[in-house]
Amino acid sequence: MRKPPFSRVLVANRGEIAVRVLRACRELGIETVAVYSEPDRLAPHVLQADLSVPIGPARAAESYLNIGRLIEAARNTGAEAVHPGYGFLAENAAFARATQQAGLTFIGPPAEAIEAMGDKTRARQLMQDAGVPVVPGSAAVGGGAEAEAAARELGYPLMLKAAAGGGGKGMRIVRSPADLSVAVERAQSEAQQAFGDATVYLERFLERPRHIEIQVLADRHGTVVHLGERECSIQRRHQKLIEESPSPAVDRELREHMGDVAVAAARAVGYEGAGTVEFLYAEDRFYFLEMNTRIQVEHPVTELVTGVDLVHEQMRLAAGAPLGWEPDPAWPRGHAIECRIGGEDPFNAFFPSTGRIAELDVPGGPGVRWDSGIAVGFEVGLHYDPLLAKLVVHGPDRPAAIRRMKRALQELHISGIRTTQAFHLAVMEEADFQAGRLSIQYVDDHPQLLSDGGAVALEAAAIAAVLLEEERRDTPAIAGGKDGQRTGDRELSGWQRALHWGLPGREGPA
Amino acid sequence: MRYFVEASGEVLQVEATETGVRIGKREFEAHIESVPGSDRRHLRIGERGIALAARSVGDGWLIEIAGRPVRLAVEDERTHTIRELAPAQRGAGSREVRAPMAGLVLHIEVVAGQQVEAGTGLVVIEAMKMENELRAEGSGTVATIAVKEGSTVNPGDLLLTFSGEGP
Repeated sequence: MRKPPFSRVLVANRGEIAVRVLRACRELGIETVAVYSEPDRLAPHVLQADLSVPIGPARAAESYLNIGRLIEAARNTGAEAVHPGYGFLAENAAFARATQQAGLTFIGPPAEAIEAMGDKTRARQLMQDAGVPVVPGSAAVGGGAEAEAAARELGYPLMLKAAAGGGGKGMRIVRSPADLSVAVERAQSEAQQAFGDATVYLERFLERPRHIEIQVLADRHGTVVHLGERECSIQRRHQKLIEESPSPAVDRELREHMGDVAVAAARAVGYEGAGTVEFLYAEDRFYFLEMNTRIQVEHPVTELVTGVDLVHEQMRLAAGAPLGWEPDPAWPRGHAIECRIGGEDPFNAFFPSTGRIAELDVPGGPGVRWDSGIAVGFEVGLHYDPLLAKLVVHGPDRPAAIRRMKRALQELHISGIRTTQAFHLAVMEEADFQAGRLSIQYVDDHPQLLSDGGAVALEAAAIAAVLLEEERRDTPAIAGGKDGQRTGDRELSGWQRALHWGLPGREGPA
Repeated sequence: MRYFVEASGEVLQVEATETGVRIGKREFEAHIESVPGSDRRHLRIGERGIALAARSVGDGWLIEIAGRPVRLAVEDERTHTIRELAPAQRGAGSREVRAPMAGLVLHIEVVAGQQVEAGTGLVVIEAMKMENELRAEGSGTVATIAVKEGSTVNPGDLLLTFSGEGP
């Protein structure tokens, strides 16, 4: 076995991405250090780590965003390197610097590259200078008057964005001058809260573009390669819900063109490690959106169609190893799709749902991957991102991958919390999705996907409800329950169950 | 016994029989079993099997097939008849807005006595780092506001009430 790139790595994150990084570490023979906030003390990422360190209360600002506590935890446990995951401090240049100043390796790009791409207005300028096409837009706007002047020049509709942004926070579409000043205020408030920086700017809003992004890898020795694209057009409020690779809109020629541009973008900021260059694609043109200087949520679809483990590569590259291989011209192999399983109610405007995971049956079988940060007994609260798990499938082509995702979603069973599972199933069955007719307006264009019930066989559900009602009425009230009736979600004691199974007329095959 | 089952605005009359159910003139051999220690159920209609999860809620059942929830109100014939004979008094024109989720009340965008139209922003609740704006579904007048900016709310907590038609 090759010598591990590090002997011990601290994972400065939680949830599914912490678990993902821990898995990579264990596969590489690296010892792992987890960190956790008070409510996460029994979270899956903690249970799977070799060492674990408490870093503070639930509030992220005092735990997962607490640079001092994280550095201290890394030093005290003798970690050599820190993997930031995504979100939290992953794109925080101060954290990258503090890590290095403490004599640790930051598993990510140099702090300067994070800064260059993190300031979205500066990144746009840098990209224009490097010959990368960008969406027409303004410089940073301070207040209402400045915004109005910039908006007049660009025309409506337009998009308000946080300069320090990412992940859709602080973003607002403005369709008419009357809405501008309120939208600027709201976006600034959201940006201040999310990033500690209220700076916003304007961009022309493209109608129904696709979101297509290119995965790049760069070593310290000047080699930069791309691993093809992911299409992430299915979004809600700028949060991605479903991603796939390859994109149904991208052929080999376009892939190479976008790939070359993405490589140029990475070179322009002296990039190292794994990164993603995001583009909007509309009317046969693509425009630079932003570069995410971290591993992305949707990285598994690229892993499935290339066979490259991106987190392994991050570790190797951070340790200074040369890339040492070239992309295979046969990529992408087959087709991969990812559905983000969120703790949100798709039939109630995606409002967050919280609760204890009571049951969890995970899909399996050929071509199915489950990257998750939850387990039975785990309490999903309101403090963190609602992403619970990612269901990812790989198939020989897009129709096969869709059919595989559909059957995997049918196998999935989560109780105790509402999830987006049924939304994903509805998308897999929807004609425009199946035909690859996608845009970032897809969810708004298909409101039927969010209507309660959908394609459920109402008659079957009604039959079930009546049989359950009969069963409940036939069962004598035993062992309490506030209305003296057995409720559906209480476990039966041994003799209750015997009584239940013994009911006349309910036995044997129908 | 005959039941009136209501889901998504549709009412279905379903009669429980010795071997299953009858819907109109159609007879189904059907039965349901629980997976012990779980909320999973296996419904068999003839030879066809349907795996589902079921939970008893208020006046009926919440049934989930592949994560797709259907809320079914189940009423037996007798209760249904009594209710039909003595229709419940509807609230005297007062309507409520309740918190759809737990979170922090960030802004209250209306004041008591204010007229609102469909789409008027009422309350902004922050949960999981997102600001979620609750808007009026119709026109009406704000009667009372039950929360303050900065309050923490749980799902179902009263936020405000309307007088008149109510949104």
